[in-house]
Amino acid sequence: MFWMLFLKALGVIAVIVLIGEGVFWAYHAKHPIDDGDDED
Amino acid sequence: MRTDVIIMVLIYEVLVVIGIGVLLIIRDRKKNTGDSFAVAGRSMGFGLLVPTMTLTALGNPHIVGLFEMSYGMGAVALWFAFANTVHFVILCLCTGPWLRKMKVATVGEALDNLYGKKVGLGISCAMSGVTFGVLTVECQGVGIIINALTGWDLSIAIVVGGVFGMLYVLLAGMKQVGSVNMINLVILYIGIVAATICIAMTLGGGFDSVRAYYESDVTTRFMTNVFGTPSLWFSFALANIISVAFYGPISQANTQAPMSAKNTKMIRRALWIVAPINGLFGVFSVMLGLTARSIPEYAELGATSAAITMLVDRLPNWVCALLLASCMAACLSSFAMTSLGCGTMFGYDIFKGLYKPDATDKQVTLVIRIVVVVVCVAAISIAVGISSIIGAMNWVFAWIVPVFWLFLFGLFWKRSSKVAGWTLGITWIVNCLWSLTGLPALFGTTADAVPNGYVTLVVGLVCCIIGNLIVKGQPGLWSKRAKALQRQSISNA
Repeated sequence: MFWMLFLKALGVIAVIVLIGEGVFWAYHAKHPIDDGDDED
Repeated sequence: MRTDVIIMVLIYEVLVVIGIGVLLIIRDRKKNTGDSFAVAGRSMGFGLLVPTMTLTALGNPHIVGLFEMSYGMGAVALWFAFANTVHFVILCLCTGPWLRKMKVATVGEALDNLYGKKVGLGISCAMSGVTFGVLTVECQGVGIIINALTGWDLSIAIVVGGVFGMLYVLLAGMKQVGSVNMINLVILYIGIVAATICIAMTLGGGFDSVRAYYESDVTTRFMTNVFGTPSLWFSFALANIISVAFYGPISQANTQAPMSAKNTKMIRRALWIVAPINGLFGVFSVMLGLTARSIPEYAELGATSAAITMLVDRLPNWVCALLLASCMAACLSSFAMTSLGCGTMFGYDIFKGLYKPDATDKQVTLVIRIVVVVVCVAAISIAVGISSIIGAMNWVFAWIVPVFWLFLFGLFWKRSSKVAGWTLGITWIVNCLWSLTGLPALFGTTADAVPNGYVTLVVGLVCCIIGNLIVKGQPGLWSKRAKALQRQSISNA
């Protein structure tokens, strides 16, 4: 049962992160990332 | 009481907390780095950033809170951990890099830049209250763990935990928390994995016997399903995503580590490590909570005590010591970051922002240290009386949800201090009415069925959109219009 929960959790986390990254890079494909003067 | 276990844990905490603090103080005296205490001189590397971000959002609710929740509603409790994954996506890809780029020390300071002093101060005050609420919950968690594993009186356990929390942050600030977190994250995972393996070994058929227990009864079958039942998913899982995901990425405690990062790329990269480490921790807590409920002798103790008592009874001494050290480390880390968040807001937004604009970094650091002590003492004294942990956290988070919309619209669309003031005022009033009056009944529902996070999310969004459409305001700080105006003024000059 532990591994079933573990794998399901890993799957949900992966889907959330991939959706986040996908939306982020889809947006920034049109709008270049502007990090300003990044390092102090 | 297991005296040998307590001694081992205390030695660990004292060595790590005080040892690293003293080392950093000696090193910083030589370097004299400006705003080092609150934002680590904005030089926090990847190795410190990842554990600090992970552990700030991995405290009492992930351990004691998930034990309780999984006992009552089953595996659907894992959605609290998944809600934190959504929070990390927004924090690492959006709000964290934005705040780092603005080079501010507090969220209030960022909103001050967008909407002016009054709104910034109002948000800082509300956020201080919310952060203090979280602090009391974290303090209670430390106390519950020490109490369960040592048998000490809960109030003594809370005082001992609170004193360690103060030491954790007081000695050297952000760098101290970051350095200690790196060690604690490793110990935390070793502790919870070892405890889960040991508990599985004490069960006749391993965790499959737990599954068999729940699936043997129609009324408990849903408890092994991560998605639970539709009503549970709406009233718990989705509600958690809304309140955690819209509070976390804009809360002072969670944004303080990204604000201290060396650069914004590092914050974005951290997502791939922080999200799985934080999210998967919930699997261990939920599994232990479900196991405790499936054993009659622990099930009868109730949601709060079942899992912890099972661990104390069944774990060998060394695993018990490891677990106590790691759970304390996780709760202490959140406790420390939260108290540091309160102190930083007071030091920068109120002391430096209002009373002494020309204050030196040394004076601000002294004020932060004093506020950390004051809020920790207050949190310790209040912590004894709190009930449901995750319920309390969600109510507290709902207050900050409208701030997320203000931050987003203020950066990319339009900013007006009037709209910001009205949005906050209306949303906070509705939030109180939703909890304290019969308002939910007018909509044919209850406050439990539709938690406050939904209400503040919708009311905040509607107020922001309508207000910005009606009221004239300045263009968003990083909006296309603001950039065009900037370009125009440069070409005119």
